[in-house]
Amino acid sequence: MKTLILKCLAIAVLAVAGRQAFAGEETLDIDTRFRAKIAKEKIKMEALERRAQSANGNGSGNGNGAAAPSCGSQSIGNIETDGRIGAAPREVFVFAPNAINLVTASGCK
Amino acid sequence: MKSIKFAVIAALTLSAVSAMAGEVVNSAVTATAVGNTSAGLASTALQNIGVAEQSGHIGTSTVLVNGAFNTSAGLASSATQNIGHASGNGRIDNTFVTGNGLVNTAAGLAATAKQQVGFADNNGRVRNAFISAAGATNTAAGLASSATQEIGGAANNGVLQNAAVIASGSFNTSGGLASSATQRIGVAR
Repeated sequence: MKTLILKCLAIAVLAVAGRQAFAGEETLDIDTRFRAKIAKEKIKMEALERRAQSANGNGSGNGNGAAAPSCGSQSIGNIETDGRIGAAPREVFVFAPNAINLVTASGCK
Repeated sequence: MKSIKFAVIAALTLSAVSAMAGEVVNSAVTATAVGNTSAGLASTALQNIGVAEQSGHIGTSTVLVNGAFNTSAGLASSATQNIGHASGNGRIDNTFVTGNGLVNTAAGLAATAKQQVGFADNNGRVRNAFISAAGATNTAAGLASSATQEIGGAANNGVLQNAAVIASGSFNTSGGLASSATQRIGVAR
């Protein structure tokens, strides 16, 4: 009976340790709440990567060598980092009065 | 003898590398009322003013353009206008890029118009820069045409830092069935 209890305890300890290993060695020395945040960010980044890959795979461009496949989009002072950290604009002043981006009625179809 | 050979090889390698990397440094580039036109099937109009390519670097420089017109017309034609543009690990730093009255037009089936002002491509870095484009107009007209206008920004792992981007009255338009227009001002992506 005692051996069985000891075995159960050993399995429980191993299971907990295993979970720690799954979380990633690089995050072991980080506080639990930060580790959760990092994991959340990682998931978000992976989702964004998948979305970007599927968008490229669909070939949503019009095949004429255009740089941007998105139709009728206007970005002013935006950050498109695709989930990457540290690529955000810093100390940037953007001023664009009367900036107009226009696609006629028949466009985007 | 061997050491001389090594020195020669090293010198040649270094000179080749420096020749590959485009640089506009400690310079002033000024253009006034310049025009570029191309017409016909698959015609291409490319207008580059103050451009550094292949590990391009524009540093401590002024690029000043007043009135630049770039036009292409015809089936699958493309018009590309680059003002103060660095490509291929492009870097723009300590630089002043000003464009007034920039007009880029592509007309025809599947025409493409691309206008870039103060823009760094491919691991682009824009730092300590002042970029101004007043009344920049980019137009693509025709079935499946596409217009892209990018003012003051960095693309592909781009970094935009310590910069002022002013784009007053910038106008980007595409007309025609299945056409698209993309306008980016002060964007890092």
